[in-house]
Amino acid sequence: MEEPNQKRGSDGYDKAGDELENVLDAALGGYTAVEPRAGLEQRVLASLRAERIRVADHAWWRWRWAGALATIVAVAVALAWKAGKQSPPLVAKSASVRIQSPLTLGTHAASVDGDAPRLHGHSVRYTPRRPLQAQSAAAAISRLDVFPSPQPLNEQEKIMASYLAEYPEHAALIARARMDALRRDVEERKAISSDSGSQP
Amino acid sequence: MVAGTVTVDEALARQQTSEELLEAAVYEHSRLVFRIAYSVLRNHHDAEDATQETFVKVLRQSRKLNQVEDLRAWLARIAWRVAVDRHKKTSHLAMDDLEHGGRALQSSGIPADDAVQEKQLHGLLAPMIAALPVRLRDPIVLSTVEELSASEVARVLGINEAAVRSRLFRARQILKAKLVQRISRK
Repeated sequence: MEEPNQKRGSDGYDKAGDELENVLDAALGGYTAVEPRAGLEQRVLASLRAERIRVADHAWWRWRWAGALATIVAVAVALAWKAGKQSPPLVAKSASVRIQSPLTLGTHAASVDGDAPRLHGHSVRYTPRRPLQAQSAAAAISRLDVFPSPQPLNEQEKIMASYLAEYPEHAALIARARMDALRRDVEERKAISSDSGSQP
Repeated sequence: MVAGTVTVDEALARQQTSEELLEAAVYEHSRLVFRIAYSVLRNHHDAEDATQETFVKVLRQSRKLNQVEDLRAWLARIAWRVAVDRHKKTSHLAMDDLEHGGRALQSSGIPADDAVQEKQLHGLLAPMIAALPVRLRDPIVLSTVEELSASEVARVLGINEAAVRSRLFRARQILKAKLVQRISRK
Protein backbone atom coordinates (compact mmCIF):
# COMPACT_ATOMS: atom_id res chain seq x y z
CA MET A 1 0.00 0.00 0.00
CA GLU A 2 2.69 2.34 0.93
CA GLU A 3 4.79 1.70 -2.09
CA PRO A 4 2.45 3.19 -4.73
CA ASN A 5 1.91 6.24 -2.52
CA GLN A 6 5.60 6.72 -2.15
CA LYS A 7 6.04 6.29 -5.86
CA ARG A 8 3.30 8.78 -6.52
CA GLY A 9 4.90 11.17 -4.09
CA SER A 10 8.33 10.91 -5.67
CA ASP A 11 6.78 11.24 -9.11
CA GLY A 12 4.97 14.34 -7.95
CA TYR A 13 8.19 15.70 -6.52
CA ASP A 14 10.05 14.95 -9.76
CA LYS A 15 7.30 16.58 -11.75
CA ALA A 16 7.38 19.68 -9.59
CA GLY A 17 11.18 19.69 -9.81
CA ASP A 18 11.04 19.39 -13.57
CA GLU A 19 8.52 22.19 -13.79
CA LEU A 20 10.72 24.37 -11.64
CA GLU A 21 13.71 23.53 -13.84
CA ASN A 22 11.72 24.52 -16.91
CA VAL A 23 10.58 27.75 -15.32
CA LEU A 24 14.15 28.57 -14.34
CA ASP A 25 15.47 27.71 -17.79
CA ALA A 26 12.84 29.88 -19.40
CA ALA A 27 13.61 32.74 -17.05
CA LEU A 28 17.35 32.44 -17.55
CA GLY A 29 16.85 32.14 -21.30
CA GLY A 30 15.04 35.43 -21.35
CA TYR A 31 17.59 37.08 -19.07
CA THR A 32 19.82 38.20 -21.94
CA ALA A 33 17.52 37.51 -24.88
CA VAL A 34 17.69 41.10 -25.99
CA GLU A 35 18.35 42.50 -29.40
CA PRO A 36 20.46 45.60 -29.83
CA ARG A 37 18.97 48.57 -31.61
CA ALA A 38 19.21 48.32 -35.38
CA GLY A 39 22.49 49.47 -36.90
CA LEU A 40 24.75 48.45 -34.01
CA GLU A 41 27.49 47.33 -36.41
CA GLN A 42 27.46 50.66 -38.24
CA ARG A 43 27.66 52.58 -34.99
CA VAL A 44 30.55 50.44 -33.80
CA LEU A 45 32.38 50.90 -37.12
CA ALA A 46 31.77 54.65 -36.94
CA SER A 47 33.25 54.79 -33.46
CA LEU A 48 36.23 52.77 -34.70
CA ARG A 49 36.77 55.24 -37.55
CA ALA A 50 36.56 58.13 -35.09
CA GLU A 51 39.06 56.39 -32.82
CA ARG A 52 41.46 55.87 -35.76
CA ILE A 53 41.27 59.57 -36.63
CA ARG A 54 41.78 60.51 -33.00
CA VAL A 55 44.82 58.23 -32.72
CA ALA A 56 46.30 59.60 -35.96
CA ASP A 57 45.74 63.15 -34.77
CA HIS A 58 47.28 62.30 -31.43
CA ALA A 59 50.29 60.76 -33.17
CA TRP A 60 50.69 63.90 -35.30
CA TRP A 61 50.67 66.07 -32.20
CA ARG A 62 53.13 63.75 -30.54
CA TRP A 63 55.50 64.09 -33.52
CA ARG A 64 55.12 67.85 -33.45
CA TRP A 65 56.01 67.94 -29.78
CA ALA A 66 58.93 65.63 -30.38
CA GLY A 67 60.15 67.89 -33.22
CA ALA A 68 59.87 71.00 -31.08
CA LEU A 69 61.67 69.28 -28.24
CA ALA A 70 64.43 68.08 -30.56
CA THR A 71 64.87 71.63 -31.90
CA ILE A 72 65.11 73.04 -28.39
CA VAL A 73 67.65 70.39 -27.42
CA ALA A 74 69.68 71.05 -30.59
CA VAL A 75 69.72 74.80 -29.96
CA ALA A 76 70.66 74.25 -26.31
CA VAL A 77 73.49 71.89 -27.31
CA ALA A 78 74.73 74.33 -29.95
CA LEU A 79 74.72 77.20 -27.47
CA ALA A 80 76.48 75.11 -24.84
CA TRP A 81 79.07 73.99 -27.40
CA LYS A 82 79.65 77.56 -28.52
CA ALA A 83 80.00 78.75 -24.94
CA GLY A 84 82.37 75.90 -24.11
CA LYS A 85 84.47 76.61 -27.18
CA GLN A 86 85.35 80.14 -26.05
CA SER A 87 88.97 79.84 -24.97
CA PRO A 88 89.62 80.19 -21.29
CA PRO A 89 91.93 83.02 -20.30
CA LEU A 90 95.52 82.13 -21.06
CA VAL A 91 96.66 83.40 -17.68
CA ALA A 92 94.88 80.66 -15.84
CA LYS A 93 98.14 78.84 -15.14
CA SER A 94 99.82 81.84 -13.67
CA ALA A 95 96.90 82.61 -11.41
CA SER A 96 98.44 80.59 -8.61
CA VAL A 97 101.57 82.69 -8.57
CA ARG A 98 101.75 84.59 -5.37
CA ILE A 99 103.86 87.60 -4.99
CA GLN A 100 105.96 87.49 -1.91
CA SER A 101 105.11 90.32 0.37
CA PRO A 102 107.93 92.65 1.26
CA LEU A 103 107.22 92.07 4.94
CA THR A 104 108.03 88.37 4.80
CA LEU A 105 111.07 89.05 2.66
CA GLY A 106 112.27 91.59 5.24
CA THR A 107 111.91 89.22 8.14
CA HIS A 108 113.62 86.52 6.21
CA ALA A 109 116.51 88.82 5.37
CA ALA A 110 116.81 89.90 8.96
CA SER A 111 117.01 86.36 10.22
CA VAL A 112 119.68 85.50 7.70
CA ASP A 113 121.74 88.65 8.14
CA GLY A 114 121.32 89.02 11.87
CA ASP A 115 123.13 87.04 14.57
CA ALA A 116 122.62 83.39 14.40
CA PRO A 117 120.93 82.03 17.49
CA ARG A 118 123.34 80.58 20.00
CA LEU A 119 122.69 77.47 22.00
CA HIS A 120 124.88 76.60 24.99
CA GLY A 121 127.60 78.82 23.67
CA HIS A 122 127.82 77.05 20.36
CA SER A 123 126.79 78.76 17.32
CA VAL A 124 124.16 76.92 15.43
CA ARG A 125 124.51 76.96 11.77
CA TYR A 126 121.40 78.40 10.34
CA THR A 127 120.08 76.92 7.21
CA PRO A 128 117.93 79.52 5.59
CA ARG A 129 114.53 78.29 4.85
CA ARG A 130 112.56 79.57 2.02
CA PRO A 131 109.17 80.74 3.08
CA LEU A 132 106.22 78.65 1.99
CA GLN A 133 104.78 81.37 -0.19
CA ALA A 134 108.03 81.75 -2.04
CA GLN A 135 108.20 77.98 -2.56
CA SER A 136 104.75 77.88 -4.05
CA ALA A 137 105.55 80.87 -6.24
CA ALA A 138 108.67 79.17 -7.50
CA ALA A 139 106.75 75.99 -8.17
CA ALA A 140 104.13 77.93 -10.02
CA ILE A 141 106.70 79.77 -12.06
CA SER A 142 108.51 76.57 -12.90
CA ARG A 143 105.25 75.15 -14.28
CA LEU A 144 104.79 77.99 -16.67
CA ASP A 145 105.13 76.93 -20.26
CA VAL A 146 105.24 80.49 -21.56
CA PHE A 147 107.68 83.01 -20.33
CA PRO A 148 107.13 85.79 -19.65
CA SER A 149 103.72 84.80 -18.37
CA PRO A 150 101.04 86.32 -20.54
CA GLN A 151 98.97 89.05 -19.08
CA PRO A 152 95.20 88.75 -18.95
CA LEU A 153 93.85 89.49 -22.40
CA ASN A 154 92.07 92.71 -23.00
CA GLU A 155 88.69 92.90 -24.70
CA GLN A 156 90.08 93.33 -28.19
CA GLU A 157 92.40 90.37 -27.77
CA LYS A 158 89.59 88.25 -26.43
CA ILE A 159 87.48 89.07 -29.49
CA MET A 160 90.40 88.20 -31.73
CA ALA A 161 91.01 84.94 -29.86
CA SER A 162 87.36 83.93 -30.19
CA TYR A 163 87.41 84.85 -33.88
CA LEU A 164 90.52 82.74 -34.32
CA ALA A 165 88.87 79.83 -32.57
CA GLU A 166 85.75 80.13 -34.65
CA TYR A 167 87.21 80.83 -38.08
CA PRO A 168 90.79 79.53 -38.09
CA GLU A 169 91.11 79.51 -41.92
CA HIS A 170 89.96 83.10 -42.27
CA ALA A 171 92.26 84.18 -39.48
CA ALA A 172 95.19 82.41 -41.16
CA LEU A 173 94.44 84.12 -44.48
CA ILE A 174 94.16 87.52 -42.83
CA ALA A 175 97.41 86.95 -40.92
CA ARG A 176 99.18 85.89 -44.12
CA ALA A 177 97.92 88.95 -45.98
CA ARG A 178 98.97 91.17 -43.10
CA MET A 179 102.43 89.60 -43.02
CA ASP A 180 102.80 90.09 -46.77
CA ALA A 181 101.76 93.72 -46.45
CA LEU A 182 104.28 94.25 -43.64
CA ARG A 183 107.03 92.57 -45.67
CA ARG A 184 106.25 94.80 -48.63
CA ASP A 185 106.37 97.87 -46.37
CA VAL A 186 109.77 96.84 -45.02
CA GLU A 187 111.11 96.24 -48.52
CA GLU A 188 109.79 99.60 -49.72
CA ARG A 189 111.37 101.35 -46.76
CA LYS A 190 114.65 99.61 -47.44
CA ALA A 191 114.46 100.61 -51.12
CA ILE A 192 113.69 104.21 -50.23
CA SER A 193 116.52 104.39 -47.72
CA SER A 194 119.02 102.86 -50.20
CA ASP A 195 117.87 105.33 -52.87
CA SER A 196 118.28 108.29 -50.53
CA GLY A 197 121.75 107.00 -49.42
CA SER A 198 123.00 106.66 -52.99
CA GLN A 199 121.82 110.15 -53.94
CA PRO A 200 124.34 112.89 -53.27
CA MET B 1 25.66 39.81 -41.06
CA VAL B 2 25.21 42.35 -43.79
CA ALA B 3 25.16 41.04 -47.33
CA GLY B 4 28.48 41.51 -49.07
CA THR B 5 30.52 41.57 -45.87
CA VAL B 6 33.38 39.19 -45.27
CA THR B 7 33.43 36.76 -42.35
CA VAL B 8 36.39 36.56 -39.99
CA ASP B 9 37.43 33.16 -41.34
CA GLU B 10 37.33 34.45 -44.92
CA ALA B 11 39.31 37.51 -43.91
CA LEU B 12 41.90 35.31 -42.22
CA ALA B 13 42.04 32.98 -45.21
CA ARG B 14 42.60 35.90 -47.57
CA GLN B 15 45.25 37.29 -45.22
CA GLN B 16 43.51 40.63 -45.19
CA THR B 17 44.67 43.58 -43.16
CA SER B 18 43.85 43.87 -39.49
CA GLU B 19 41.44 46.68 -40.37
CA GLU B 20 39.38 44.41 -42.62
CA LEU B 21 39.61 41.62 -40.10
CA LEU B 22 38.31 43.91 -37.39
CA GLU B 23 35.44 45.01 -39.60
CA ALA B 24 34.53 41.38 -40.22
CA ALA B 25 34.69 40.74 -36.47
CA VAL B 26 32.33 43.65 -35.85
CA TYR B 27 29.77 42.24 -38.26
CA GLU B 28 30.12 38.72 -36.91
CA HIS B 29 30.44 39.19 -33.18
CA SER B 30 28.99 42.56 -32.20
CA ARG B 31 25.71 40.97 -31.09
CA LEU B 32 27.53 38.49 -28.87
CA VAL B 33 29.57 41.32 -27.37
CA PHE B 34 26.39 43.33 -26.84
CA ARG B 35 24.65 40.43 -25.09
CA ILE B 36 27.62 39.79 -22.81
CA ALA B 37 27.69 43.47 -21.91
CA TYR B 38 23.94 43.49 -21.40
CA SER B 39 24.12 40.42 -19.13
CA VAL B 40 26.28 42.43 -16.74
CA LEU B 41 24.98 45.98 -17.18
CA ARG B 42 21.28 45.22 -17.71
CA ASN B 43 20.83 48.40 -19.71
CA HIS B 44 20.66 48.89 -23.46
CA HIS B 45 22.60 52.15 -23.61
CA ASP B 46 25.35 51.01 -21.28
CA ALA B 47 25.59 47.71 -23.14
CA GLU B 48 25.99 49.51 -26.45
CA ASP B 49 28.62 51.82 -25.02
CA ALA B 50 30.45 48.79 -23.64
CA THR B 51 30.24 47.12 -27.06
CA GLN B 52 31.86 50.14 -28.71
CA GLU B 53 34.51 50.31 -25.99
CA THR B 54 35.26 46.63 -26.49
CA PHE B 55 35.91 47.06 -30.19
CA VAL B 56 37.97 50.21 -29.58
CA LYS B 57 40.13 48.12 -27.24
CA VAL B 58 40.41 45.49 -29.94
CA LEU B 59 41.43 48.20 -32.40
CA ARG B 60 44.29 49.21 -30.11
CA GLN B 61 45.52 45.61 -30.19
CA SER B 62 44.66 45.04 -33.84
CA ARG B 63 48.21 43.95 -34.63
CA LYS B 64 47.57 40.83 -32.55
CA LEU B 65 44.33 40.10 -34.35
CA ASN B 66 45.89 37.74 -36.88
CA GLN B 67 47.53 35.71 -34.13
CA VAL B 68 44.43 35.20 -31.97
CA GLU B 69 43.40 31.55 -32.03
CA ASP B 70 39.81 31.84 -30.90
CA LEU B 71 38.63 35.33 -31.81
CA ARG B 72 35.14 34.73 -30.44
CA ALA B 73 36.35 33.72 -26.96
CA TRP B 74 38.95 36.50 -27.01
CA LEU B 75 36.29 39.09 -27.81
CA ALA B 76 33.95 37.62 -25.21
CA ARG B 77 36.66 37.93 -22.58
CA ILE B 78 37.39 41.57 -23.46
CA ALA B 79 33.66 42.36 -23.51
CA TRP B 80 33.19 40.75 -20.11
CA ARG B 81 36.03 42.75 -18.57
CA VAL B 82 34.83 46.01 -20.09
CA ALA B 83 31.30 45.39 -18.84
CA VAL B 84 32.42 44.42 -15.34
CA ASP B 85 34.64 47.53 -15.14
CA ARG B 86 31.77 49.72 -16.28
CA HIS B 87 29.43 48.08 -13.80
CA LYS B 88 31.89 48.80 -10.98
CA LYS B 89 32.19 52.43 -12.06
CA THR B 90 28.51 53.12 -12.51
CA SER B 91 27.08 50.70 -9.91
CA HIS B 92 23.60 52.09 -10.40
CA LEU B 93 20.50 50.00 -10.54
CA ALA B 94 19.82 48.74 -14.00
CA MET B 95 16.92 50.65 -15.52
CA ASP B 96 15.73 47.70 -17.57
CA ASP B 97 15.46 45.49 -14.50
CA LEU B 98 13.64 48.21 -12.62
CA GLU B 99 11.16 48.49 -15.46
CA HIS B 100 10.66 44.74 -15.49
CA GLY B 101 10.42 44.68 -11.71
CA GLY B 102 7.87 47.49 -11.74
CA ARG B 103 5.75 45.71 -14.25
CA ALA B 104 6.08 42.49 -12.29
CA LEU B 105 4.87 44.23 -9.17
CA GLN B 106 2.03 45.91 -11.00
CA SER B 107 0.89 42.60 -12.42
CA SER B 108 1.37 40.66 -9.24
CA GLY B 109 -2.05 39.15 -9.59
CA ILE B 110 -2.90 36.30 -11.90
CA PRO B 111 -0.90 36.64 -15.14
CA ALA B 112 -3.04 37.41 -18.15
CA ASP B 113 -0.87 35.50 -20.62
CA ASP B 114 2.52 33.87 -21.01
CA ALA B 115 4.31 37.03 -22.02
CA VAL B 116 3.25 38.81 -18.86
CA GLN B 117 4.12 35.75 -16.82
CA GLU B 118 7.56 35.67 -18.38
CA LYS B 119 8.15 39.33 -17.63
CA GLN B 120 6.97 38.81 -14.10
CA LEU B 121 9.30 35.89 -13.70
CA HIS B 122 12.13 37.87 -15.20
CA GLY B 123 11.43 40.68 -12.79
CA LEU B 124 11.66 38.21 -9.94
CA LEU B 125 14.78 36.50 -11.21
CA ALA B 126 16.99 39.55 -11.80
CA PRO B 127 17.31 40.56 -8.12
CA MET B 128 17.81 36.92 -7.19
CA ILE B 129 20.73 36.62 -9.59
CA ALA B 130 22.11 39.94 -8.38
CA ALA B 131 22.02 38.62 -4.81
CA LEU B 132 24.16 35.58 -5.66
CA PRO B 133 27.80 35.49 -4.60
CA VAL B 134 30.09 36.74 -7.39
CA ARG B 135 31.73 33.36 -8.01
CA LEU B 136 28.30 31.82 -8.64
CA ARG B 137 26.75 34.84 -10.31
CA ASP B 138 29.39 35.27 -13.03
CA PRO B 139 29.01 31.77 -14.56
CA ILE B 140 25.23 31.84 -14.47
CA VAL B 141 25.06 35.32 -16.02
CA LEU B 142 27.41 34.30 -18.81
CA SER B 143 25.58 31.02 -19.35
CA THR B 144 22.41 33.00 -20.08
CA VAL B 145 24.11 34.34 -23.20
CA GLU B 146 22.85 31.77 -25.68
CA GLU B 147 25.90 31.79 -27.88
CA LEU B 148 28.33 30.82 -25.13
CA SER B 149 29.07 27.20 -24.26
CA ALA B 150 30.35 26.07 -20.86
CA SER B 151 33.89 25.83 -22.20
CA GLU B 152 33.69 29.37 -23.56
CA VAL B 153 32.32 30.63 -20.24
CA ALA B 154 35.28 28.92 -18.60
CA ARG B 155 37.68 30.69 -20.95
CA VAL B 156 36.07 34.04 -20.34
CA LEU B 157 36.24 33.65 -16.57
CA GLY B 158 39.67 32.04 -16.63
CA ILE B 159 38.59 28.91 -14.75
CA ASN B 160 38.18 25.30 -15.86
CA GLU B 161 35.03 23.86 -17.35
CA ALA B 162 34.34 21.55 -14.41
CA ALA B 163 34.37 24.52 -12.07
CA VAL B 164 31.93 26.31 -14.33
CA ARG B 165 29.57 23.35 -14.32
CA SER B 166 29.68 22.90 -10.56
CA ARG B 167 29.15 26.62 -9.95
CA LEU B 168 26.25 26.65 -12.38
CA PHE B 169 24.68 23.73 -10.58
CA ARG B 170 24.99 25.42 -7.20
CA ALA B 171 23.70 28.74 -8.54
CA ARG B 172 20.69 27.00 -10.04
CA GLN B 173 19.99 25.21 -6.76
CA ILE B 174 19.97 28.52 -4.90
CA LEU B 175 17.75 30.17 -7.51
CA LYS B 176 15.29 27.28 -7.45
CA ALA B 177 15.09 27.39 -3.67
CA LYS B 178 14.38 31.11 -3.78
CA LEU B 179 11.75 30.67 -6.47
CA VAL B 180 10.02 27.99 -4.39
CA GLN B 181 10.05 30.34 -1.43
CA ARG B 182 8.48 33.13 -3.48
CA ILE B 183 5.85 30.82 -4.93
CA SER B 184 4.96 29.31 -1.53
CA ARG B 185 4.55 32.86 -0.07
CA LYS B 186 1.96 33.63 -2.70
